[in-house]
Amino acid sequence: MTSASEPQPLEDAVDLLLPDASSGEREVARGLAATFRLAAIETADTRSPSTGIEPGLALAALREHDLVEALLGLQDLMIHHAAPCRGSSSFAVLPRPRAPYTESLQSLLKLLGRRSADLQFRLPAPETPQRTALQELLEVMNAWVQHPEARQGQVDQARLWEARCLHNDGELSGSRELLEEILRGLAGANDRGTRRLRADVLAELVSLHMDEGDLEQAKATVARGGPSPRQPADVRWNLDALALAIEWLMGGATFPALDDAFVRSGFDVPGGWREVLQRAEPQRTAAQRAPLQAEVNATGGHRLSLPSRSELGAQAVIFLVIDDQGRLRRGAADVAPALEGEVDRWLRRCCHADGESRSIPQAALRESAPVIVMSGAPGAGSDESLQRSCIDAERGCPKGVIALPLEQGHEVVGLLWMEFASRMLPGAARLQSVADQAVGHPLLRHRVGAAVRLAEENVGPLALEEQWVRTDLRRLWAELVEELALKTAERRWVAFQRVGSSGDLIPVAGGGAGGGRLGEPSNGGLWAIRRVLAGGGYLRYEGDQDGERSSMLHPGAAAGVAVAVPGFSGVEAVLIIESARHGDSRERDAARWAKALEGRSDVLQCGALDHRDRVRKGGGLVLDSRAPDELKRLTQIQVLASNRTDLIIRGEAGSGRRTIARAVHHARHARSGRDDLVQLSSFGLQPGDLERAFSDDAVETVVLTDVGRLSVDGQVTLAQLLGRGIQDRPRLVATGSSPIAREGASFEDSDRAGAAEPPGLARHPDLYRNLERVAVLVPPLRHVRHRIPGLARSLAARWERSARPGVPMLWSEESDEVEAVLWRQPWEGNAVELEAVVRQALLRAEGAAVGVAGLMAAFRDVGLTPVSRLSSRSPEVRDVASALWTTRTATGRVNKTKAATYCGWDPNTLTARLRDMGISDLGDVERLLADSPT
Amino acid sequence: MRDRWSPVPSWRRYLRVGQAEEILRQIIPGDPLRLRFLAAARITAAARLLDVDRVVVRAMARISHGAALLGPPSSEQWLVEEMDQAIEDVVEDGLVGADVSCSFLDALAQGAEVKHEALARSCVAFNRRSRDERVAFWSLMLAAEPLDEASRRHGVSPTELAQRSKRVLSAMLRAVAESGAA
Repeated sequence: MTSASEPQPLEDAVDLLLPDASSGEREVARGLAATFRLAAIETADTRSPSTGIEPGLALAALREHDLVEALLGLQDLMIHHAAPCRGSSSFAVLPRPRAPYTESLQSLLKLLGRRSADLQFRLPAPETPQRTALQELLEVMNAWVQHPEARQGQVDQARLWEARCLHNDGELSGSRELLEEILRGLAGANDRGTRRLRADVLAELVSLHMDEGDLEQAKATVARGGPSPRQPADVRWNLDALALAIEWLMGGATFPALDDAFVRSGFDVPGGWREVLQRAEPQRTAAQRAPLQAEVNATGGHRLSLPSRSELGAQAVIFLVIDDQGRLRRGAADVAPALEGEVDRWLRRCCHADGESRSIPQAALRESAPVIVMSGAPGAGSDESLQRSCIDAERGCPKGVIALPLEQGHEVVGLLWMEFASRMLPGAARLQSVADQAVGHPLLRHRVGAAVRLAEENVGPLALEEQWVRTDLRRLWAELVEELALKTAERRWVAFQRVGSSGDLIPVAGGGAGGGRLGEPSNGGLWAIRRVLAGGGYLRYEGDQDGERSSMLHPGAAAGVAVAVPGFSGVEAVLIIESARHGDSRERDAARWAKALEGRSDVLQCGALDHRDRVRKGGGLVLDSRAPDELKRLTQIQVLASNRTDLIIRGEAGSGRRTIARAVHHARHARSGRDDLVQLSSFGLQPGDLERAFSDDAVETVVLTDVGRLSVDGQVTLAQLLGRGIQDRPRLVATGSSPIAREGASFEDSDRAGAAEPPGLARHPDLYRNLERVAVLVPPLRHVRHRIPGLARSLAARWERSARPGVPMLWSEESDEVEAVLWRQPWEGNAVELEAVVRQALLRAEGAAVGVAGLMAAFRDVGLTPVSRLSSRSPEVRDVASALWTTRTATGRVNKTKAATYCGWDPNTLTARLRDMGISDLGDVERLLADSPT
Repeated sequence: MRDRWSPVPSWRRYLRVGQAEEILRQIIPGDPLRLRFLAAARITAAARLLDVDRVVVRAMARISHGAALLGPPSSEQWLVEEMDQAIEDVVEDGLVGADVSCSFLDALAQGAEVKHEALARSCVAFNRRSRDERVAFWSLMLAAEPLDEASRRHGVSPTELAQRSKRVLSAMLRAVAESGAA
């Protein structure tokens, strides 16, 4: 900024720029310019040495910078945890993380290495639910901003995060109050940091109003931030992008392309805007799969009322029912007074078969799929379609309409029509909840007596005895029903569960004598199943109330109860209990059964996952949901299933990584009805194989085993495929063998970590870093010895069935000595080694029960030397806890004598060790197991 | 005085000593990274009105922190980027709250006809303008370049350059008027 010419006199320059200014103003301008000219000269004077800088001052700046970086690193982790907690339709805006999770964590830990004394940090445990982890990190942030070096801006950032967490948790009023408080504190300051923070706080407040559906308030809040931009290119803050979104949602003429604008402002595109985009530009987003799932119905009752206009932010909500002639007739309606007079005409014009065939309601019925149209959306035809289909086009077209077909089973039984004065339409999850509510509406009860049946291919004819080859599930249900204390002599029961290859409910077990007066089950009572599927909870019904005896499941039944058993992502099973006696479906009994079954939901879900894996992949997930650590594993599977993200499952060979990978898939896609899982082995895998698997639209999940063995070409291809974005491709569930802790330190170290992957293979850094964002560790069998007996029995049963179909199980479940020997082995090869020994023992037994001598011989046959006792000098606490858990009595007490046998010790030794470890009863054991890493 | 910034030839060894505090102690005496020179060049290029010492302190903290975390950089360009970021950090912090910034303003206010608060506000107003406007103002008013020469150098018409400078000057005058102290 230097000039070779003569300097321009200041007076001339000021006169040139401010010819119309008063002399006073010119004087001030000259003063300012002269002063700052001196500052510029001083700045440019590079002879000023910096040795004048005080070390203490620089050290303070360094410590301040440490805190800034630590808080930013912590914020990155919080973003990773917060993103999955946001509602998929929410407009809540989150900053973009600066790096993937593992990278952020590594940097943060390195920084904290030298500030550990004053910046305390504890990473949430891997299996901690996202919301809890976020809360834990928020507590860390709140503690850090109390540090003397923290500035007010950082304190306010922590409070903004607190408001975001409240927003995530649905506590909108608390969030709003906190945000207003922050804004009050920011009033007056005008530096750039404060302006940015103020924009972020206002954006959070705006998104909160948008999530409440209050666009007017959102617009007013935007105005508090000053003038809004006119186009996406002018967006500087996330508040600007939201302002443009609101303008369009409220009827603005031009659809704003905001993806880049959000990203440019340093924030992610909110889910609510993604949904708008999918609706406004379906052709552009057609390839993206809907990420949303139905809301989980609450248990313990039915929601039969329809949502009102105000609840949905609509000007008309009309519930239409298909009558016996297949015509839509008006059911309940909540319509703005100005439109009410036109509804019947609209019904004839748009909904009857002889009406406008191109109308939106007709299209929705034809396609059996929701149709959502917004005015002015890019692409031709939306405005004409709205004009043709809305209730009263003469008064002005609505900005958005939704036609939502209502289905029972596979049959469309009604339609919900909604018109909106703005483009702020309910999100997909909300629509699903509305549809569930509507399906349970009393107006649809008239269909009960009609020929409503679950699709034959899904439910199958109720030739129950033939269907019930699922021995384990039948046994499981028999145990559960026994726990319910039903009087089965007077009643009959049938259990339906989502275990079939299609994931639909099928009958899996049944029983009871029904007093000898009830016939075999038929399709007649399946309506009750649909009802509790839609509403959750339980349903009591009487057969002869409306002359609907034919609607009972069992011919001859007079009363019944249908109980829905909730699973992690919807109803897992339905139990129908019917009786020949009138009034034999008392409220208190039904409530008690529903509560008891809800408490046993985990057992049923374990059984279902096991069954699905056996049926589809010939494997089997052996989980005992009564064991606290295995219950945690089940929860972990369900959490991983509900978050569609790539992940890696780490563990030793044979520890069950592939089974867990498949369980994650089955838990999510139990209802897809397709075989949409592909398993690939990395060894020798060609890039083309990967490309084929990832470009197959039918594939939902690719399980890639031993990902560390993938060739360099394969890694490059995989990294490219994963770069497409999770919505545009199958999910990847990889397995690997290196322990997470070592890989967490350095990806380059993984070969040195004693891993099974070939040493020296070049690693694609981004690929492994990205995969490590969600990593699960499967413990080796020797760390979870209580799994061994159940696993051995399952392996034996599988072997016996495949080797000798029809031959009953030869593995003696009562053989404590045999199971004790298996229990105490180290099983370096995990389940693979166990299976080899079990098979060899069964072969040697030649149809007789396996004894200890035969088992020992089987060990020798497969080249293993059995261990006769565990070390009693310094035993692992987990081994002792595992022995006590495995050998516990049916009444829930520890059996020290038996546990000592398992460990190979005398009982006195065990007693002494228990004293050392502070274990006194089964409660201590449960706590130890629950605290152990899954 | 050199025309172009460059650190001492063995500058990397100052960043190889381990912990951030140790690195910081190495780079203060004698300024082996020539950060004062670099700060002057980058502040002038960005056309910012800032306390250069404050920028240097901030840059030293950033560089010590980054080198301890990531190891010594491979290129001098990293130092330049950290300096630019330090400048933006100081702009972001504003002019309040730090002692050095006050001493910067105090020094400017001595002998000036404009009061301290008015100077502070006009300084903030200047830094809030767009880069093009700041550069135009800096050329015409602070570096006192002749209009024709400055317009040729920046590739814009003299009218446009003058208008940009005028917008900056007007914003500064408004800030002074709002302070109520000219």
